[in-house]
Amino acid sequence: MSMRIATRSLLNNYSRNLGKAMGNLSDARTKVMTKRNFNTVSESPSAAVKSYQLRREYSRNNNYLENTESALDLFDAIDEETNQISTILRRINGETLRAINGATSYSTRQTYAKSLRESMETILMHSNVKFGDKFLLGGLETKEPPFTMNNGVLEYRGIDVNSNVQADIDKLNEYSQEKLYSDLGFGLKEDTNGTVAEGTAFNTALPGINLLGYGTDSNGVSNNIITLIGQIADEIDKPNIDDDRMQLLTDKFLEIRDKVIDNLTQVGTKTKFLEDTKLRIEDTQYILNEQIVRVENVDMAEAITNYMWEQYAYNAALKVGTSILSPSFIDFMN
Amino acid sequence: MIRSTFAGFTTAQLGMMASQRALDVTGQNIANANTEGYTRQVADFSSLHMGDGMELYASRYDTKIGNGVILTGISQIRDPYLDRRFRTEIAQVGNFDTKVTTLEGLQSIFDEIADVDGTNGIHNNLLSILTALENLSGQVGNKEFENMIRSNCSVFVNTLNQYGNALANYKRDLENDLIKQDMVEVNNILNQIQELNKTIQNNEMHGSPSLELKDQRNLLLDDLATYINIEVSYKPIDMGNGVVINELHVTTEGLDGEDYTLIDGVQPAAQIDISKLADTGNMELVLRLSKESNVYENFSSIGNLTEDKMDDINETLSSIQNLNKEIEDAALAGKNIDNLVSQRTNLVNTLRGLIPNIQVESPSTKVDLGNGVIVDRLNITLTGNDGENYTLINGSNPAAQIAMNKSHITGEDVETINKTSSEIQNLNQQIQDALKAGTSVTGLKAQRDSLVENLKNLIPNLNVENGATDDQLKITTMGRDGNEYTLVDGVNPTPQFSSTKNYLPTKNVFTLKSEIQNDMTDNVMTGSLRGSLDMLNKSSEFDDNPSGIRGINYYINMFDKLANKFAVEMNNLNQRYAYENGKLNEGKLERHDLFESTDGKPITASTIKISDAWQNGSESITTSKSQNDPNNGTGDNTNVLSFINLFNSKMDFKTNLYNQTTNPYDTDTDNRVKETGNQIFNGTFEEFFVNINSMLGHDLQSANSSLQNFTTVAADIQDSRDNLSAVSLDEEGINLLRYQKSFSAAARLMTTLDEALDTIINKMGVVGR
Repeated sequence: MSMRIATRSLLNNYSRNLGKAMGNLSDARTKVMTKRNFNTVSESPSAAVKSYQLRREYSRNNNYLENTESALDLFDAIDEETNQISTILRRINGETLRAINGATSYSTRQTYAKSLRESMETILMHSNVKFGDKFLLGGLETKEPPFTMNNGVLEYRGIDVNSNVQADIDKLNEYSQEKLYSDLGFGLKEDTNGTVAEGTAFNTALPGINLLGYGTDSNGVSNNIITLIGQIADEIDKPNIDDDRMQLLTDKFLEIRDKVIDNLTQVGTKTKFLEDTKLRIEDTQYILNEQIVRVENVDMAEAITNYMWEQYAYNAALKVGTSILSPSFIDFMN
Repeated sequence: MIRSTFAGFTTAQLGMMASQRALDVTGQNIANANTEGYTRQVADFSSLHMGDGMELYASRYDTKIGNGVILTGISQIRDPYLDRRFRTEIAQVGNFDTKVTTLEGLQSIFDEIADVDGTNGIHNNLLSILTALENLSGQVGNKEFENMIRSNCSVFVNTLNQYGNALANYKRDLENDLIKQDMVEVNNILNQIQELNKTIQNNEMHGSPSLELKDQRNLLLDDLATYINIEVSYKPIDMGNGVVINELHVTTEGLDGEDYTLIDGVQPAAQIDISKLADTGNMELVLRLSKESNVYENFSSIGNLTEDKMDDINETLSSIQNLNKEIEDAALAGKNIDNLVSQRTNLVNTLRGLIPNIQVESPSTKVDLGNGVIVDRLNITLTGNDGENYTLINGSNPAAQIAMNKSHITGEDVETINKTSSEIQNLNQQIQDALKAGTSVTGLKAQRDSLVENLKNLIPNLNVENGATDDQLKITTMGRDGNEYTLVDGVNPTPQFSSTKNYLPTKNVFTLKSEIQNDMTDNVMTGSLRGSLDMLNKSSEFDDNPSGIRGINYYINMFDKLANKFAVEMNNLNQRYAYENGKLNEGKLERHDLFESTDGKPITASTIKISDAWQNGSESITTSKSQNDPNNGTGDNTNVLSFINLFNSKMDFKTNLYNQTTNPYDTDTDNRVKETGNQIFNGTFEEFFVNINSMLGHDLQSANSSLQNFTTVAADIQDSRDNLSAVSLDEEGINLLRYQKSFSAAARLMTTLDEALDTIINKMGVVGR
């Protein structure tokens, strides 16, 4: 039996289909206008979750990039100051040698001693290097200058660097081990005590005390390069130099100087590492960006083609409505 | 057979009349081509054939010819099977349509994906807080960077507040819609259908088919089916005189497999009652169906009912109902209701005195009348002998009432009266024997008392006299003729009554008009009511019995969880070691809360706020746990790193909220107090938020696809239904031609017969004239 078609079902069907065509057209138009693949999570839950995840990674990478750049700025600043210190230390050795040469008169020695003391000041100044309003070589202390000269006694964060008191030595030991971590995206982790796990963050702390040395050896000679220079100056400044002591001092100076210069060059290594890290993060940013575009954004060519097609379908549906729907048998009756 | 000369004229007349009526029907169809719900009508014809059986001059040949056509009725072309299928599908459409609409509402509140590259929304807020923390990690001690964290947290907290409030408002709106619109509409439809049943039944008894009213009723049934799944059946009722009427019955099948009556012919329709329960905040749907029940047969507990006692009961019931109404009104107006409640308690006690075994719901259900106004809904039921619970009082809904009708004592009653009377007489005899033997008569008397009670129920004005001794009990009654009749006279035999002697008084029949209530909250199978109830009541893992359905409460709870966990974890990390006697005490943490709630209750999305101390600057981010130690380096960022780490940690999220603003160490186990409840999620804060969104996304996507499937099927069935039942203009056009032609043909028949008669009358026998 052939199917009976009623006028009402024809009309209902038509308006339903026209509505659907209109809906599709509107969806296609939204895609072209927003250039986005989806505007609600429900349109594509899995893509939306992916998009959120990529955005999270992108934002974190941005943080890492900023942190790396700040660390780089910091190390550049330190690098400059430490280079100056190295230069001074190299010069001091020559001056000392000239001063203790037997031919040098007492008055000339006095001049040398004065010059050495000035060098002390300069090194002290360079050690209190600042970037922005932060002191860089104070370990965890960034507000106050780490090194201060208190009545001729060199202090690091208020503690005599040559102190023999065990409590002071302990404190200085502690200070020399201080670490200030920055999160550069190495998977920051803390152990159960809340301490950052080694290797999961980048240590930006350069405790000045570690750089310049502290404590006094059994001969009463300072391990700190600045105090040592002072001790050398004091010896040179004497009318009669104690040759044995002078020998001890100069030996010590050479030993410490090499260590200090060695420490200082490590700053350069860290700078290089930071530069590499920065490049790596920038690469990741680029890749993430590509992925974000792929997940979130429409292919314009495809979107416009779809839009045109839906427009065409809608127009066709309208046409059907006007030309086919209206006549019935009644129109042909006489 | 000899044909009557004028026989053919009637045939032609019937033919013309039939064609005319058919044209009328066609006209009606064309006129209603676009009327919603109109079912096309057809004229039912049958061929008229008279004169079967014995005839005086019957022919032995088979040459009987019919006598024309007769219109037997106008009927509708409708397929009940398609109606049933359509209503099944449209209920599912209603269910999923409600779900989709509700979820879309939620989507508009917290779907942030379109702004994923912007700065607004929870996800972006969390990212900015992390960025601010990362910035601070290299700038510890710098107030500007600390303030940046506070302002980012402030934006985050505001967003949470906004989501929390929007969700709460949205839920309240939907609750109001359900109570003020859907409930009213469904009850209206039910009442309209019942009214139509009455009208249609009346019309049909008077011979009118009421086709248009049936169309109207079918439309209402379609409407009803979007709210709740229905099953429609027709029960033929013989009205006498050969009139049979199909009575409409509508039931809904519950999830328990039982059928619940919505419409029972012309009886009052069932009504739904939706209210908000105050303790859970959930909506409750109760189906109320009026039911009348004979007190004597069904409520032996009410005992022997007299007219006076009936009046007392009715008055008490109405007074309680009135008080319930007054209590609701007073509560809504913010007045004190204590006095009214104690009045009500007195009345309930009065009622208990009248009917000892009423059941008063206890504790009573607390109902939220809106705007947080909460009242106790008094619910009193009485169990009938049939095991059903009949509602006497249900809040301010009309109370049950007992009605009394006088009825003649039937033959059956007379038999019972005679039987009971002789039993009592027999007991009198037994008592006499026992008295003589000197044994106890207590048991026998008790038996006799209960028989007397039975008799009283049949004859209200019974006169019972105790004689000088226990065996001389005499029972008499005043007949309608004014004479006294003796039913029992001690041990003496009494005359038997017969049903033909109608001297006994009329009896009173008491009927309890009450309701049977069924809590359908978790029993409605489908339809938009199911959808609404699911969306308002179900919250998946947060429910006692997780259903897997995530309604608005689920999302409210999830955002509360996010706010609560975020605040507590941040507050927790912001604790510092106490500095005592010149050194740090690492066993003792001081609280420095960054977040708190506006109302002192557990922190939720709507109540989370930046703590006053942090807001006014007296509290700050703890950058190092050792911060209280004056020797601690000012650049120490260890705790900032802990905060950063918090944002990268995968945490367990469980259903219960922390009550405190921090999550303290349990001093016994030296472990953090564990979160309790069902596990919902494991991941970071951001992932938790994305999870909320993706849950909604998936729910909406699947509800949408179900909706589309059911809509397509329903539309297909609707098409089939229209194709069968709706008007086709082509067809009606053809009918116009057809009936017009058949009319002409019948008229032509008339002319032809006329001409034939003319031949007989005027032209025959003229030879030789």
